[in-house]
Amino acid sequence: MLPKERGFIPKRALSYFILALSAVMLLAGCTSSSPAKESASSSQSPSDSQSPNAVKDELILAVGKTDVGMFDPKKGWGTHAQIRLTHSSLLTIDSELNFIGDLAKSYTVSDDALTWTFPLRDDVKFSNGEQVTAEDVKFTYEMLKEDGIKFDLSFVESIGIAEGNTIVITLHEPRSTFVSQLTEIGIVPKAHYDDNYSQNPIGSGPYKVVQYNDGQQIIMEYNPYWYGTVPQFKKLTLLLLAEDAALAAAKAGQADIVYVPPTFAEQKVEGMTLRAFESIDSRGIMLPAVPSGAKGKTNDKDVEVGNDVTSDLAIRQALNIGLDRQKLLDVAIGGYGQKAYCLCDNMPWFNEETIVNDGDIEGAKKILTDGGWSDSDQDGIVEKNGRKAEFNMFFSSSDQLRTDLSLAVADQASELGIKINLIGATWDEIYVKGKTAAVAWGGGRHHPHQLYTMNSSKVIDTSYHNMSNYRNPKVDEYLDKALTATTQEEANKYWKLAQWDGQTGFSGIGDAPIVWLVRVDHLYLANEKLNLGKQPVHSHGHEWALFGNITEWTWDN
Amino acid sequence: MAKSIVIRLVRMATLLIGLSVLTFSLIHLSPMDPVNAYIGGDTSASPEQIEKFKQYWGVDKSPVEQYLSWAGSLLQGNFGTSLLYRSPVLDIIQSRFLTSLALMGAAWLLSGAIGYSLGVIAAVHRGKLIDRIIKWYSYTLVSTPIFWMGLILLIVFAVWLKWFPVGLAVPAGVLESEVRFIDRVHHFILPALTLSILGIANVAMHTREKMIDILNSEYIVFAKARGESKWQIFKNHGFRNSILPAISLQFAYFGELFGGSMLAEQVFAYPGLGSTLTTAGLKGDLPLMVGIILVSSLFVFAGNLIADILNKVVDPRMKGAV
Repeated sequence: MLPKERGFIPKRALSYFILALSAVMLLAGCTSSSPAKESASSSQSPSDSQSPNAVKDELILAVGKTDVGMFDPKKGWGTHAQIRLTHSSLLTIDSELNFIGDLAKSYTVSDDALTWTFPLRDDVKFSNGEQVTAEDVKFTYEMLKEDGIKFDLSFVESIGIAEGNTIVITLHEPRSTFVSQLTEIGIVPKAHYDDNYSQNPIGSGPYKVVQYNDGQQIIMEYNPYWYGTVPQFKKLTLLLLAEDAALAAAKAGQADIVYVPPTFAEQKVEGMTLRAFESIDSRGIMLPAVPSGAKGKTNDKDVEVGNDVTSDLAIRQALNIGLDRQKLLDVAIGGYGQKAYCLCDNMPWFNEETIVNDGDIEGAKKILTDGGWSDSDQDGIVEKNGRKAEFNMFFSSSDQLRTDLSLAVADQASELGIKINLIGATWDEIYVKGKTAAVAWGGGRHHPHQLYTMNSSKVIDTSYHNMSNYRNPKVDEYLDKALTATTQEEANKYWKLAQWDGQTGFSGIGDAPIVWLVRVDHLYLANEKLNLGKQPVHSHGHEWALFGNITEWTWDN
Repeated sequence: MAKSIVIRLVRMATLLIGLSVLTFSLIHLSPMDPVNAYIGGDTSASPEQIEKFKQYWGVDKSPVEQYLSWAGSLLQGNFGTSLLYRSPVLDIIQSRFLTSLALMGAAWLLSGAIGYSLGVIAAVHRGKLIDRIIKWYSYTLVSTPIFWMGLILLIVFAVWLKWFPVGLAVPAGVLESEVRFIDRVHHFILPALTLSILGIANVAMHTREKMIDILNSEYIVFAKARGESKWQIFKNHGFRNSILPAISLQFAYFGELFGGSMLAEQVFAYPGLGSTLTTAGLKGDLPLMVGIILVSSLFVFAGNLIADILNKVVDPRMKGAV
């Protein structure tokens, strides 16, 4: 009797188990059909479901991982121009890249450039309806100065409040690039700012964050207290999708605008058109300017420094004029870009004398021969004192664009007799080994401060600034003068001289510690009815570069 | 039984210790830098500030000291703070684990049930067309990478047919309070389907083999001689004997399931534990990474433990063995 009893119970339990399983499957089967019908109507295209005359006031965007910094300036919100949607700043830039007032009505700088005065607008409110006061501005700047990680405000002496809702910032020393930081720092409310600000970000921009699903989406709604032009779109949904998922979303009609890398640019999506925007987002090759054997630091880690081949000026200059930038553009990014000669092409501080007639293989070979490099053993690679012109080059293997560009560069360099061995790696590895080899480098901002951090010898061994360990006293002098200039005109003059003063400079025709090659157009697939207004030249970071003029965007039926 | 469970728990503790030591040493040997993870790429932090950080996070100490202080706080239930998200590791794991658990649970049940049924059908109809189809199907699936399968499903069902959304766990632009259960299910189906496809082939082929063995045994011949129908044979003799390998496999398959969920979640931008682990690993978020690794190994270990216990419950013959 007993064995039978024992056998019975599990069998019955198992049959229930099977029953439960089939119920689950049945359920799955049912639900898979019912929402399908529903979505067929709702997901056609966010636009089609509305009647033609209704004003479309919602947008779904998939322009990249837009949540870097999580709405908190202390975590880096603003360093890539994120703040234009959610916060206001003392100043902003217009489509011609002029600095104009935002929260500040205007601004004045004293003759010694140490005192900056900002009379504030009286009509600006946070998204919770509270007034934005000078106290909030003072609090924000002092908090960030104290923190010092994302915004370097070490040159600021004090932030004061003067009569008539006015902010007065005094500096230890003149700093010409301060003006761009004034456009990047979003003002946070003193009364509501704490470590959990990311969860409850209150700002004074045209939109407020109503929901943030980490890793999925950010939902923003129009801030009724916004003081500027009322945007047509009252709700923005930013999907945090990777590039291929974003393209799939576009094809499925589930997004109004998506970012596409150049490799996807030829994809045709019904009802959407490709929008290409010129950018200052530059790519080039960083080349160590000192011979091997030295020691240094990257991000405070001890690293080896120097490369015996790239430290030879002839190699760097030969690459600058020998590489054919147009061919690189065509091969690596499908022609969606512009040639780059400095980090700041076409910016007001760009020195046009640095433009060279590139792709000049004969000229490059002559520079190499004059520099003592010749191919005596006929193996296609030039030598000097028994050393072959051969070096390693790192590129971020997760970055398709840098990968393609690196392959094209290595291919072209071999025609000059320079052999480049490519190594794909993670950024962590590149930072450790990068000072001993070439690196596919990038940058480009609406302000010239990177010219300083990439070329001044004063910042060697800090962060990953001046990776080439480049040192030129004349260039240092110009960079210092530019940084501490009292007017923008004077600053621009010295930025230009630092690139090339007729004798020397850090640009490609000078010492070329970084050979800049291309500027990448930012490409988006957008619904053909979506009008993105007049976009300024985009800065580095395709995720946010679009949103500077969000209030001008319209939906043209 | 109680004794064997105690032994297993001791094994689990040593496993976790060994695993955490291994993870720590591997990360220490890799070029990953926790300070980088915290302060991020574009920084103006001065060397003094970076030094302050190292002190604050304790990364200026030797690896052994770091490990001991981490293990000490872990014993008090503190997993540390994620460098990337800047919030407690346990909170992050909790929120992500539920999402992943639903995904893996559904995939697990589906693949087990479908796989077992296919295996039985194939064995009963051995050599016939349906058997060949199931075999061909299983061999194809077992050699298919899961992310590729996911992409195919994505293209067919989300992009071409537009039956399902292309990613995420909730509909775009809908507030949390307005998301209906059906919306969640709608977003859930494609990743769950992708994940379950992975497990079907394994279970089906093992069940088929076992079932064929059973069908060739003498007691089945005897049962046939007694005039039992195919269904009776399966119900009375086949089921209990053939479910065992399926159960062991299915519970032991927790590890693969977890690995698969990582890929499936990546393809569908589904915010679960797997995609979080990928992010933590790529961005160098050490506390979060170690936390997820420990929790997931606990999960895999539990799977194996359950398989062993269930084996004994289902098959009385195995009671004596440890």
